[in-house]
Amino acid sequence: MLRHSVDVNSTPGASRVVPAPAPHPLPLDLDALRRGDATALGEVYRRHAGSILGTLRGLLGDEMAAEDVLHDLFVGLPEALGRYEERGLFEAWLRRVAARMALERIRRRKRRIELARSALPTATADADAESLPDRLLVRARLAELPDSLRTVVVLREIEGWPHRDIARFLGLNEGAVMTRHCRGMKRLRLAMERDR
Amino acid sequence: MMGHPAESRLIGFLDGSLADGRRRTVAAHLAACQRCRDIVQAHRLHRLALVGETPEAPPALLDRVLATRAAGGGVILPVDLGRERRGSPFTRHRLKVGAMIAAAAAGLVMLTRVPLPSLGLARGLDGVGSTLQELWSDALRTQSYEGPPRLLERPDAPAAVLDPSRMHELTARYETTRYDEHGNLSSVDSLTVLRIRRDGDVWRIGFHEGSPTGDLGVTAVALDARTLAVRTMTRLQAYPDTRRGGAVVTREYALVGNTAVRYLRRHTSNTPPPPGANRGKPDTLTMYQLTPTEGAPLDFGDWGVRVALMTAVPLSRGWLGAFDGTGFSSNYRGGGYLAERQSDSRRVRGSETLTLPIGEVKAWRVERWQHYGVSPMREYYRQSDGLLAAELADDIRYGSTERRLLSVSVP
Repeated sequence: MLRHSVDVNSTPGASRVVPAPAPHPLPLDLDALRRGDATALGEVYRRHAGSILGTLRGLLGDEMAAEDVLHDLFVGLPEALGRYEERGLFEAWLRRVAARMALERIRRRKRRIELARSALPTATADADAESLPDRLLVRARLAELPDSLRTVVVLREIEGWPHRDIARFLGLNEGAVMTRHCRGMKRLRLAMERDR
Repeated sequence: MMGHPAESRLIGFLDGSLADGRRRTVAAHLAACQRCRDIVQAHRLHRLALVGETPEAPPALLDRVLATRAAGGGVILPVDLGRERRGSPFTRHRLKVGAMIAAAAAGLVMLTRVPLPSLGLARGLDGVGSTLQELWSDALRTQSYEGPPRLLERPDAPAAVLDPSRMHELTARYETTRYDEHGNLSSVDSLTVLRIRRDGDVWRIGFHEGSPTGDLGVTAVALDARTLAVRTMTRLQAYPDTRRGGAVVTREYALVGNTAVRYLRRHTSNTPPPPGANRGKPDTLTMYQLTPTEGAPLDFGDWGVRVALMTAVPLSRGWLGAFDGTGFSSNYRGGGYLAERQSDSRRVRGSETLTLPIGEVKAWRVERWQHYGVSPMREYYRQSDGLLAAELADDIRYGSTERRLLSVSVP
């Protein structure tokens, strides 16, 4: 049955829309940031640190490690900006640097995350099967994935990178990235099913 | 009984990484297989759970950062690695050669003192194209939202990148997946190719839609850098087997001046269309303007497949909104069309002043009844020229939509 379209602009507030990132009213003062100006650094932190922290948590599977990397990122940011060419979006560049730092950390460490399963969130018995799964639970199951799978899943699903870019970033071929992505997502699904 | 696709295929489908043929095959399977729909649905929910929440960075961490810096601490960030890895060594070599040639050319130009009046413009336009492409390439990710169809937007994009006077040709490919109000997968379409190109003084916006499971109606075109794609309405329609059925719809809009849209729609199918349909021929090019009189019925008559109706109005400076009032009245059922007549009637019920992005508009309020409708749509036509200014319906319940931009290229 044909359903006629409705202009959403003519019905403000009529729908629950997942908000797109709000445009920032003023451009960042990159020169001030390069000088290490605390106000400028604070502004970048206010705008971007939250979402980057989410990505770092996903990549590292470890809250403390994620905050450590975020800390280092902002400590080193003013000097690093000297090598930032103002092409493309600053946020995209910043996120890429953060992902690189997380990756280096993963490679350096022997994975020490031993989250006791009992300590992880579990699905509630009365959870509506049709509703969105518990974010904490999904994140916890994500953290249980091996680094090799979790990294790809996070870069693909949270960061939205194309497989090609992930392959370049990780030094893999694209087919391997797609395989890891599928394996990771499948293991995540099976883990979530076991929780139900 | 056809076997189930491997889960990697289902994930690839959801992920937008399948080739067109495989995507269509999976889409057709999904239309008929609850098991696989459940798996896709599970993955979709997991993805939403992963991306849906932005944590708040602890303010105390910023204090630590500032304290570390104040104490002279520093960290060297790995900023160059990503960029250095871009492109193959061969590409980089070519770039070097290109740079040498460019430098040589520049030197030659300087030596011969040839004026360069046009290079600035050429560089500027190239800049628009590359910036646009980069901007949208960066956004190659799924956008998910609930509620009515809406535009694919990058609200953080600089508005000046693509203004009407500096419009740039581009091609974008994207696909849209829709879910009903209960979150169930309801429509697994569609690869859409959007082309904006220049044809003399007229900019043409073309869509090619290959949809195994649904028919898309384009309802708006927006042409600024923040709004690349089209607002679409999905007609939920299951095609059990794309080898036997499936619609390919090509739409073309042409901007005429800055205030009107001409609309051409071609609908083709690899199954015979119903009697009386256009049999794959292009629909007629039509442009409607209404001249309502309060209280008078406006009968648009019965529509078959052959319908082309377009009214349009610019909604804000720099972009054009267009409203598709198209009736498309056939249903595909098991290898053939079930012709279905559809009628609309409209009646002017009064006049109102609307507040739209372009400002206040005096408009006729029109009630629009459709033969299956339980409540009227409300439409508003500008009194100044009779063009459709807004359209409202309170009874439509929308689910959620995922739209994945697959690629953007700028010639």
